[in-house]
Parts: sequence; structure tokens; C-alpha cells
Amino acid sequence: MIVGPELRAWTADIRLQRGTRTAADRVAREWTAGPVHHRFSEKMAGLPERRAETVARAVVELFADDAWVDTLIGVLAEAMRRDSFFEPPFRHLDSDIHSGLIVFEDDNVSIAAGVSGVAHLAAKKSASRHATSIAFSGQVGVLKFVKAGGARLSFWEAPLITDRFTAATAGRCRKTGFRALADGEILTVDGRFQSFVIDRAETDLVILQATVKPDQAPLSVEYDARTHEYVGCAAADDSASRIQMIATLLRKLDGEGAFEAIAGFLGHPHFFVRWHLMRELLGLDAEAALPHLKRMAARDPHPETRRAARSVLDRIEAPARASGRRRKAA
Amino acid sequence: MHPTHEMIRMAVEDLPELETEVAISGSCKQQEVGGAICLGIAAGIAVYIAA
Repeated sequence: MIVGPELRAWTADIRLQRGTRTAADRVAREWTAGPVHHRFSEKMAGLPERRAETVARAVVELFADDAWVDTLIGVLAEAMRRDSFFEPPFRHLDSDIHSGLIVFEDDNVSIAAGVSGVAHLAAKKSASRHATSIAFSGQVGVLKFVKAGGARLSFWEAPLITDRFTAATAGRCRKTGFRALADGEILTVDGRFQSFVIDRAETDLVILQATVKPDQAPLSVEYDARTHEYVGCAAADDSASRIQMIATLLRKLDGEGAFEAIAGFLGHPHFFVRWHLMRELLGLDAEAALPHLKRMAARDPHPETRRAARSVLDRIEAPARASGRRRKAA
Repeated sequence: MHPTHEMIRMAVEDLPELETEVAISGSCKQQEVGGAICLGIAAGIAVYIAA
């Protein structure tokens, strides 16, 4: 790394660093107290119900006015002009082709403003020597293409991702259509069964992107872009993955109260979380886990979880049955 | 849990997995060319698993 004189001066001077942080804090404060953030908050607080469709409709109304994007970019650009070490005080939302900032977030929605680079898009498409996927996010999304970049999108559908999802019944995805986008166009994409591909674009796209939080599917699902066959799935919600990781950590640490803490999550809505927790409980104390295992084998709503629990139960009960038979024979 | 009785522990790695393998949030098996995930996900643990 070559350190230029400006960076050398900044890293050596705590006052300069404080100045950078103060500027970021000021922008954050002004944005949070400002009219756009206030409008988003009010709209979400006033929703009659916490349902995906209701939130998505409210976002479509909010996205009708996008003049604030220019204002926000202006504020950030001005702060960067004053201080080249200024960083926008928003969480980043980045991928291979997209750079965004999350400008609003509450229990109902997260809203990001960002740019999809046409050069990155082209590079990604031409460099795709490996197998590629069309992803279904499991979340309802609202996208406003403030600048559509002359893009053409294709639209895709797959079987609805539900709490009973299985790989065996995932089916295939199919293209339902394609069309060119116009500047300012708003799309609602229900990622529980819909997706899209940016087939081509002429210039960068400026996109407002809302991710709706209520009624998410448990999983995001991938289909092969060439064969349209099911490829795999992942937890749609990071809290599910965190619960799984913490449960494994608790089992490995074997601390006091670990069993009870893990068992407290056995009613989790996602089938794969429930089975993960059951495995950890059996690893901690199989005898104490047995009543939970029996309940899961008999009543879990997901067929694979029931089947896995049944198979462990059979394994546990088989020696007991054999020993009973031996006692009877004696 | 500190044992108050003789606990029987099963080896977790010997227990069956579900037939539907579920990866950690934010991960993908193949490179994605379509979907909102291409634009990044608002909250997640960014783990990329190459095919």
C-alpha cells in the first residue's frame, strides 16, 4: 500500500479524524431528523396491518417522489468534497454489480439507494464460465429504476416458497416474459415466487430498492440459469442462521443452561432451524431431549423434520426393544 | 449444562441431516445472474460458497 501525504497527515492527526467522524455524525443526524426519513417513518407507523402486500403498496406510494435521491447525493458529495476521508453514515449494500446505501430501516422495510454499474454487469456476464443461477430471494421487494439505463429485464417464476418447502418438490423456474424498462418505473417483485434478470443495459442503473420484512419465506432458492432445475437453498433470514450457529456454540461450550436455552427455540417457524436445534439437544443430553424428539417425530409440520426425528427415535428405541425381547425369551 | 445425572450424548455428526440441505443466510451455490440477491441483501451474513 502506498500512503500518500494526505492519508499520512490524517492518520497522524486525531483532530482530523474526529472532524471526519463529526461530519458523518452530522449528516446522519440531519438525515434521520429530515423530512424524507420522517415521511418514511410516518408511512410505516401508520400502516393498518403488518403484511407484505400492505407494506409493498406503501413503499410504491413513497417511491413516487424520488427527488430526495438527488438531494441526498448532493449532501454526500459536498461532504466528500470537504473531506476526502468522509464516509457516508449508512450501511452498505454491495454485490458484484451493485453499490448501495441503506437509507431507512425499521421492522417493516429496509430501503436502499444504489447504482448497478453497466461495466460490472457486462464483466459479470462475460466472465461467467461457471454455472450460474437465478435466485428467488424469499422476500417481497419494490424496485424503482430512477435511471433505467436502457435495461432489458427478463422475468421468472418458480413454485411458491413456503414453510413446507422441500428440495424434492422445488420444481423448476420458468421465464414469464421480458421487456425494456423506462426511467422511473416501479416494479414489485414477490421473491417468494418471482425473480428477474437484467439481461442487458446501456448505462448505469440508479435503483431504489425496498426489502419488505413481514411474511418472508424461510428460504431463498436458486435455480440453474441454463437448465432451470433446482440448485439449492439458503436461509432467507440471517437470524435463523445466527440461532443455528449460537446453538452449536452453546453445545460445544457445554455451559450451564445450554440445554434449556436451545430447547426454548424448538418452536421456531423454520423447519431447518428446528432440526438443527434438535441435533444439538441430542448432542447435549439425549435422555432430556427424548420427549422433544418424540413430539417432533409425531407432530412437526414439516415432513422431513418428522422423518429425521423418527429415524433417530427408531435408532434409540431399537436396542431397548431388542433388550426387552431378550428378557422375555429368558 | 453441568451434569446432575449421567447424561447420554449422541454424536451430532452421526445424526441424520434433512434431505433438503439449507445453507447459511446469504450464501449461494452458483454465481447468481438474476434476482434481488444480485443487488445485495439488506441484512445477512455474506458468505460466498463457490460451486
